[in-house]
Amino acid sequence: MQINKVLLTALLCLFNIFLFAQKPGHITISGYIRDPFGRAIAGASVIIDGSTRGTVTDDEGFYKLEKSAPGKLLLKISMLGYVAQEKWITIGDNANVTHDFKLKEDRGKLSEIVVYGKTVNQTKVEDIKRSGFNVNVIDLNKHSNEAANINQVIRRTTGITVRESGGMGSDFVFRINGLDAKIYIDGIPMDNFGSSMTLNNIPVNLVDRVEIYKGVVPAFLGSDALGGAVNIITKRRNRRFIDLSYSYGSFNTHQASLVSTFAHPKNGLSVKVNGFYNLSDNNYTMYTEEKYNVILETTENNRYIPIEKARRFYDRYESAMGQVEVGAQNRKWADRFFAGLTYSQNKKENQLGATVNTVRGGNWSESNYIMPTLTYVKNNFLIKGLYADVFASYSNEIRHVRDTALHNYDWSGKWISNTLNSEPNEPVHMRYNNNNYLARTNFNYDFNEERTQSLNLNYNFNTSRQRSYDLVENRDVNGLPNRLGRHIAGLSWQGQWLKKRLISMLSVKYYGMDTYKQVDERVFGNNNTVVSGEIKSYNNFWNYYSGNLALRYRFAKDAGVKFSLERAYNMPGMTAIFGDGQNYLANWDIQPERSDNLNVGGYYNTFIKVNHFLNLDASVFYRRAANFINTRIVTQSDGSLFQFYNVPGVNLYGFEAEIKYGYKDLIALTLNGSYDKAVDNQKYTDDTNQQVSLTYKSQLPNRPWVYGNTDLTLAKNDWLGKGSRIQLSWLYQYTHWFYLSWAHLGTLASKDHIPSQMVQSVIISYSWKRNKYNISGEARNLTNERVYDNFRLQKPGRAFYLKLRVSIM
Amino acid sequence: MKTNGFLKTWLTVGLMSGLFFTSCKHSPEDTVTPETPAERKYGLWVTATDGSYILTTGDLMKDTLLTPANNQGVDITSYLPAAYYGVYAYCYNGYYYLSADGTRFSQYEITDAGRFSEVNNYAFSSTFYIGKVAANLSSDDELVFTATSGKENTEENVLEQPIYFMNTNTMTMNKTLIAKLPFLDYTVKQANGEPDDLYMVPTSMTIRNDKVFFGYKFRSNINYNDVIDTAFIYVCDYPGMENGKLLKDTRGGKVAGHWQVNSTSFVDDNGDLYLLTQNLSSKYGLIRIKSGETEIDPGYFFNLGDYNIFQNGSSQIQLLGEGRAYISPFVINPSQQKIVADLRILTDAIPRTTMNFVEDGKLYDVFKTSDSKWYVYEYDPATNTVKKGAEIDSGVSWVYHVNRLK
Repeated sequence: MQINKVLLTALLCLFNIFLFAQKPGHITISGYIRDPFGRAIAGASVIIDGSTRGTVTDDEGFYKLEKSAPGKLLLKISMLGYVAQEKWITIGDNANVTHDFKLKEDRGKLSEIVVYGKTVNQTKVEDIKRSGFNVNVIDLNKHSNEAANINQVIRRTTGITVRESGGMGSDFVFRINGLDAKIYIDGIPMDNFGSSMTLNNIPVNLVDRVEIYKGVVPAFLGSDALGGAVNIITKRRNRRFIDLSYSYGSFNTHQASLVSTFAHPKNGLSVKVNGFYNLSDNNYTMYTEEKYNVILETTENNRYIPIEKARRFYDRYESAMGQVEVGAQNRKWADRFFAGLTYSQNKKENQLGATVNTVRGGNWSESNYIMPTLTYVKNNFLIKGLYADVFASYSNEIRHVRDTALHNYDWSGKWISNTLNSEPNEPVHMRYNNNNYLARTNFNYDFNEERTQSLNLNYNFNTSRQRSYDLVENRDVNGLPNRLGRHIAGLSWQGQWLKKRLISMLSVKYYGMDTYKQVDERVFGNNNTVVSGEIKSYNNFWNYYSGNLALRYRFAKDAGVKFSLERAYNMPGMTAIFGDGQNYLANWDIQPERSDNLNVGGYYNTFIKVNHFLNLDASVFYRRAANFINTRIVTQSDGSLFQFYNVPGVNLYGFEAEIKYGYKDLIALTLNGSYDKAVDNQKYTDDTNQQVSLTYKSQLPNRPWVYGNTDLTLAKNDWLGKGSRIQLSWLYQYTHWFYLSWAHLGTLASKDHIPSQMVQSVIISYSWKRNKYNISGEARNLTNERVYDNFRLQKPGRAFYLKLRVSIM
Repeated sequence: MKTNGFLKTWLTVGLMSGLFFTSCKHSPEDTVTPETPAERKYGLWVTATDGSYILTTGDLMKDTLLTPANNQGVDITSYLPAAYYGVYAYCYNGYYYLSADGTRFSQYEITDAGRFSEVNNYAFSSTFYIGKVAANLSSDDELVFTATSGKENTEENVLEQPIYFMNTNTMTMNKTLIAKLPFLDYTVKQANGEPDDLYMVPTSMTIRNDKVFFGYKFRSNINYNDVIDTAFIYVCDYPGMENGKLLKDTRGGKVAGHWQVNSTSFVDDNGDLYLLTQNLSSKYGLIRIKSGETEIDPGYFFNLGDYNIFQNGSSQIQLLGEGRAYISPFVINPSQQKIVADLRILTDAIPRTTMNFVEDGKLYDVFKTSDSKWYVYEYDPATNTVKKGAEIDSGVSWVYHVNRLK
C-alpha cells in the first residue's frame, strides 16, 4: 500500500509543524477543569479578573488562554451547578503556566444532574439527550489509552451485542436490543464512508463520544433505523491540537492514529487532519474443541484428519484512512464552514469460507474510497434562534473481490492433493463500483431564549448506484440500468414543561423511496429483428409515515423516569429491490421492515458523603418488528437463487440495568446486565394460514440474550510525579451460552451451542505531564478463553498490546 | 487512600459479580439418552423454519406422530450451510452422503446415542458437489457417482465429466472414469444479438450394461436461464469410455433436472432407458432409448405437458416394477404411455418430498392434506391403493428424504 507510506509521511510532517509552531515569547495559561470524580467539565467559564480575556473549557474540560501579560493575575472559574473558584497565579516571561481545577458540585443550586453528557458542547444534541430517549453516551476520551476499536468499547454497554467472526477487520454483526441498528459518523450514515470505516476499524482516539440510541431514534439523525442508532462524534477542537498514537501487539498488530487541528485565532481559518492506519496478520491460534463441535483438520491422502490446533495463515488485514478538512470557524457568516476530503483503502484476506474447515488460500478483497464533503453550520441563521446544519457529499468506492487459489487448502496452509487430476478452481475477479450522493439539512428554531420550546426539521436524501464487472469473463454483469433514491424527513417539537420537570419530544417522520428500472420486453425474430415489445422504464415511489414520542419526567432532583414510543421503518436496499445480477433475484414488491418500539426507564443519581457517587439506570423495552426482510431460495429453471422477501417478524422484549459507583477520581466501578428475548411471531408457514409453524412463539436461536459487563478502574494521581496518573482497569465480559438452532427442536444430545464467554482483560496505563505523554499495556483475554461469537468461529485468544500516545493541547 | 464501608461494599459487589459470572457454566447440561436399538430404522429428513432434523421411526406405517418438537429427532442444522442443502444429500445403505461445503465428501450416520456423526470423509482438491448417482451400479461397498461439474477441455471442446467409484468402507477412490461431453460447435446469441456465455449442466447419468448415457443442458452465464430447447444425450462405451456420440432430440426440450442427486432418468424392466424432458415452457415429456440401442427412439414421445408433474417441487423418479414408474404425483406406465394413478386423488393430498423411497416394491412418499396435515403414505402398485401411515408434525416446511437407515 504505497499510498499509506505517503499518507503517513505527510502526517508526520504535519506533526512536526505542530510541534515546532510555538512562537518564542508566547505565554499561555492552560489546564483541565474536572469534577471530584475526574470527569471533564465542558463549557466552564475561565476569566482573567479585570480583563475581557476569557474562554470556556472544551469537551475534555481543557482551557487555554494565550498571550497573557506577565505578572500576577486572578483566574475566575465558574460553571452552572458548581461552586465557583478563584485563584491568584503568577506568570513570568516566556512561561507556559498550567493550572488544573477541581470544581465541587453546588447541591443547593443544581437543577439536575446528567451523569453523562456533561461534555457535550453541541447544545442541540444535549437538548435531545436530556429528553426521554433511551440513550447511552460513552466518553471515549476515557478509553484513549486503550489499543481498542469502537466495537470493543461499546459492547461493554447495556443492550449491545457485537458478534465478530475473527480478529481485526473481520466481519461482524452489530445489534441494539437484538435488532439491526444504523450507524452514523457525526450524523452521516456510515454506509457513505466506505468499507474502511467500520466500528471494528476506527481507533478510539479519533472519537470524542458515542451516542447509542435504543429503540426510538431522534428525528435529527434522519434515520430509517429499526432498532436504534449509534452516532459516533469525532473529535473537533476549536484550537490547535494534536493527538498521535501508535500501538503494537500480538499477531503483528499495528495501529496508528492522528487527530489534529490548526486554528488561526484571528481569522478563524482551520485545518483539520485526521487519519489512521491498521495492520494485523490475525494469525492467532485456533483450537479443536470437541465439546463445541469445533474440529480443525488437515488432510492426509485426501482425508481430513483432526488436529489439536492450527494457526490462521491467511487473514491479514490492512486499512488506512486520511481526512483533511479546511475551512473557517466562528465567522460572522458561519459558525463552521468546511470543505473536506476523505480517502481510505483496505485489503483483507479471507481464510474461511462457509465452514471452519473450508479453508481458502487465495481469497481477498481490496477497496479504494474517496469522498469530498461540504459542511456549513450557523446559529441564528437568517433569523434569530434558527440553527442550520447543512452537509453534502459524493463518494466513490471501487472494490475488487478476488480468488486466485487453484485448489482447496487445509489448516496446514497447503493445497489438498489433486490425485484425481480434477479441474482446478476457477479464478474469481469481480469489480464493484459504488457511487453515492448524500445531502442532509438540519434546521432548529428556538421559540425563546430559554429554549423551552423548539422545532427541528431534518431532511436527508441519498441516491446510490452499483456497477459490477466480472473481470475474468470481461463482462458487465449489471444488466439494464436501475436506481434507488431515499428521502427521509423528520419534524420534531421539543418542549419543556412544569418548571422543566417534564421534557417532551414529539416527532413525525416521512420516508420516501424512489426506484427506477428498465426491463427488456423485446421479442426477437430471425436476424435479431424486434418482433414485438420494447425496453420499458418503470418508476415507483413509495411513501411511509411514522411518529415518535419521548417523555422524561424528573420527580426529584436526582431521579426521573423516561418513556418513549415509536413506529419506525427500515427501507430495503439496492440488492433487495434490483438483485445483484449474480446470486440475488430482484424483488420489486418488497416492503420496508417496520418496528413498533416502546421504552420505559428510570434513573437515580446520588452522592454519598461528597466523595462517593452512585448512579442507577434501568429500563425495559418491547419491540414488535414486522415485515422482516429475510432471504429465501427461489428456484428458476431448475436453478436456485436467493431473493429478499418479507416475513411477519419477531417480538422482542427485555430489560437492562447498570450501576455505577465512583470514589473521587480514584475508583470507578460499573456493573451492568442485559436480557433480551426475541420470539418468533410468524404463525403460519403456508399461504392458506392453516399450517402453524413449529417455531411460532419460540425464542429465536443463535443469538446472545443474557450478557453483562464489569469494569473496575483504580487510579492514583501524582504518584510518580506531579501531573502523573497511573491507572489499572479490569474488564470482564460475560455472554451466556445459547443454542445454534431452535431449543425445543431435536434431542438435546444432537444440538450444538455457542458456549458462554467470560473474557477478562487488564489495562495498565501511565500518563505524565498532565496527559501529554501516555504509555499503556493491555492484556486482552487474559485467561486465554476459547471465545466464540459465532458457531465454530473462534476469536483471538490471549493478546498483549503496548500503546504510546502524545496529546498536545 | 481513606476507605470506608461504602467503598468496601462496592468493591465486594463488583468482585462478587465477576465471580458470579465466572461460576456460570459454559455449556448446557449434557443429556445423552441412548436410543433403544431397533431392528429396522427409517429416517425422515425434515426442515422447520431454518432448521433441519432427522426423525427416526421403526415403522413408517405406524400410527404415530413424528415431530422434532419437545426435543425429539436429530438436529443436523449445523451440518448444512442452509436448510435447502438437504436437496444435495444422498442416503445410501443407511449412511447419508453430504458435500455441503463444496470441498468435503462426508459419510454420516445416526448413532445409537442419537447424534449425526461423521464416519469418514474424502477431501477433494477443488470444488466438488455430488451429482447424479448410478444406484444400479453401486453395491454394498461401492458408491458410483458423478460431480456437479467436470473439467473443461477447450482444445477438444468437451467437458470431461468424471464418474467416481468410491469404496464406502474406507472412503477411498477405487477408480475414476472420464466421459467427454461435447460442447456446442456453434455460438448461441442473446436476444440482443450479442454472443451468449453458456455453461453445461449434466442432468442425468445412467449406466446400462456396456454403455453410459449422460443427459445435459446448457445455461446462460449472463441471465442464468436455460437455453436451447433440445435434449442433448452423450453415449459412450462403459467402462471403456470410448466411441462416444451425441444424440439430440427437439421434441420435448432439454433433458430435465439439475445437478442435484435426484434422478430423472430410469431403466425399466425391459432395459429401455427413459429420460424426462422439459421444454423452455416448462412442459414435461419422456423420450426413450430402447434396450441395446444407442439412438433415441424416434417413434416414442410421451407428452406429459398436460400433467402437473413436479408441480410441488422437483422429485425423484422411482421405478415401481411391472412396467410402472412414479413421477410425482403420477404413477405411469411409460411403455404404454399411460397414466396409471394420480396419487393426489388417492391420498386427497399433495406430495411434499424430494427423495421418496421404495421398499419391497412399495412406494413411500409424504403428502400434505387439504387441512394441512402431513402423512407418510404407502402406495402398493400391485393393488393400486394407498395406505396412510405415520403423521408428521404439520409445522415442518418440507421433507427432503425418506430412507431406511437400518
